[in-house]
Amino acid sequence: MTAARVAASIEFARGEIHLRLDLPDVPFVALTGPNGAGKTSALRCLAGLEQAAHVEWPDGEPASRGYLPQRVMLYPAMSLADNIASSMRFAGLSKASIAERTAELLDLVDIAALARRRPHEVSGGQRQRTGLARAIAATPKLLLLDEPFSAIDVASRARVRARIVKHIAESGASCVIATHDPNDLEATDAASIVLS
Amino acid sequence: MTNRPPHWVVAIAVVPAIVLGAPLFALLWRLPWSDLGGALRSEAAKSALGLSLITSLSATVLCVLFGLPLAWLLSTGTGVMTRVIRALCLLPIVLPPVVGGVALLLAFGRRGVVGQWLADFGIQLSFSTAGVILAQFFVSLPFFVLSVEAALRQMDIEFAEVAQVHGASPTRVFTAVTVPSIAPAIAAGSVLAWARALGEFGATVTFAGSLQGRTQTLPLAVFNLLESDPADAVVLSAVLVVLAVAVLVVLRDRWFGVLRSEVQR
Repeated sequence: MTAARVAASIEFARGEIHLRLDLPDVPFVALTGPNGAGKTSALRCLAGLEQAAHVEWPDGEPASRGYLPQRVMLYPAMSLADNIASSMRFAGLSKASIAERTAELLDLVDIAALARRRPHEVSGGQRQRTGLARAIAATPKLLLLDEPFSAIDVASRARVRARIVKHIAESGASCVIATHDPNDLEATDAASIVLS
Repeated sequence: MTNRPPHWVVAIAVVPAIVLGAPLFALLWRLPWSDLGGALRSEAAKSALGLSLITSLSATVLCVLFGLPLAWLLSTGTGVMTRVIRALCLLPIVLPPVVGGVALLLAFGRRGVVGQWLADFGIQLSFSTAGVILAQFFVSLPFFVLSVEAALRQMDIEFAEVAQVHGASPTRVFTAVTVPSIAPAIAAGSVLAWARALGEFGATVTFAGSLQGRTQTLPLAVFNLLESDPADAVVLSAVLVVLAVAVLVVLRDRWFGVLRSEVQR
C-alpha cells in the first residue's frame, strides 16, 4: 500500500491536437473524453509504443508495465492459461510461482473452466477477462487498461471490476484506465482527466 | 436457375483436363504391377530413394533455419535494400534451374569465386552430396520465404506490442509469440520447399552431376533409367507421384480452403 505511485507527463501531437497531461499521484487515473480525443494514444505513449511521443517520468520510468489494449490481443496460439502466464514468463518469474498465480488469476476472473481453451474458442467478454488477468499477472508498477470492462456481460461486470480494482489497489501499482463508463470512475475512485 | 456454362465452354475445358490427366493415367497404366518391389530393390533405385530423402530433408531444414530470420527481416523492411534482397530471394522461382546450376558452379565450383577459397580448406561442394543439398536449398528457399513472409506481414503488430510492453525482448517476442502464431504457414512453407527440393533436377545435374550413390537423386535416376530400364523408371516416377499427391493432401486445407472461401463470398 505504501509503494510510490508512478508519475508521468506526456507530450504528443495527435493530428493537430497537442496534448500535455500530468498523472496525479493516486492509484487510479481515468482518461475520459469523446472518441478520437486521444485516450488510446495516451495509453500507448505511457506503454512506450509511440516513438514520436515525449514522456517524462519525474520519479523514474516504471520498471514493469501491464497492458490491456482495447482489442485485447490474446496470443492466438496460446491457451487462456498460457496467455495469462506469458506476462509472468516475460518478467522472469519462477515456474512454480507462475503455475500457482495463473490458477489464482483464472479464479479471480471466473474463467478457470476455460483455462485450456484457445482465444478464438471463447467469447469477447471471456477474452477481456483473460486480458485483464494477463495484464495484472506480473504485478507491474504501471498498469495501462483500455476500456477494460466494456465487453464483460452486465450481470458480472461489477463483480469482476470490484475484484480487479481491489487486486490492483493491494498490489501498489499505478493504474491508468481509458474509459467511457461512469461506473468505472466510481468503482475505482479515480482522478479523472478529460481529454478533448 | 443454375448458372451452368454453355456446351462450348465444357468442350474447351475438357482439353486441358485431358492434357493434364492423360500422362498420369498413362503412368499408372504402364506400371509393372506384378513386379513393383523388384524395381525398387535395384541398387540404383535404393540409393536414389535414400539419397533423395536425406538431401531433400536436409535442404528443408536449412530452409527453415535460414529462411525464418530472412523472412522476418523482409517482412519488417520497406527500404531499397529489402526490395533488392527480396528480388534475389525470389529469382530462383523464375530462373531456369539449369541456369541456377551454372551460377552455382561459377560461385561454388572448384574454380568458382567462393569455391576456390573453400578448396583451400579441402571443401568441395560441386559433384558432392553437399552440393546436391546446396542446389536444392537454392531452388526451394524462395517457396519457404514467400509463405512465411506473407504470414508475418498479415500478422497484427499489436500482438508483438503487448508482449513488448510486458517485458519481452524482440527475440523473445519472435520465438514465444510470433512463431507459434504463424506455425501453419511455417509448416506449409516447409512442405512446399521439401516438394520442390525432392523434384529438383536441372540445378542438381548441372552443379552436382549424376553420380550413383552420391549425387543421383530420384529425378536423376528416373532420367537415367529411362534409357537402360524403362520399367524401373516408371516405378520410380510413380513413387514421386505418390509423394506429390501426399503433399497435396497435406496442403489441401491451405489451398483448397482458400478456394472454398472464395466461392462462399
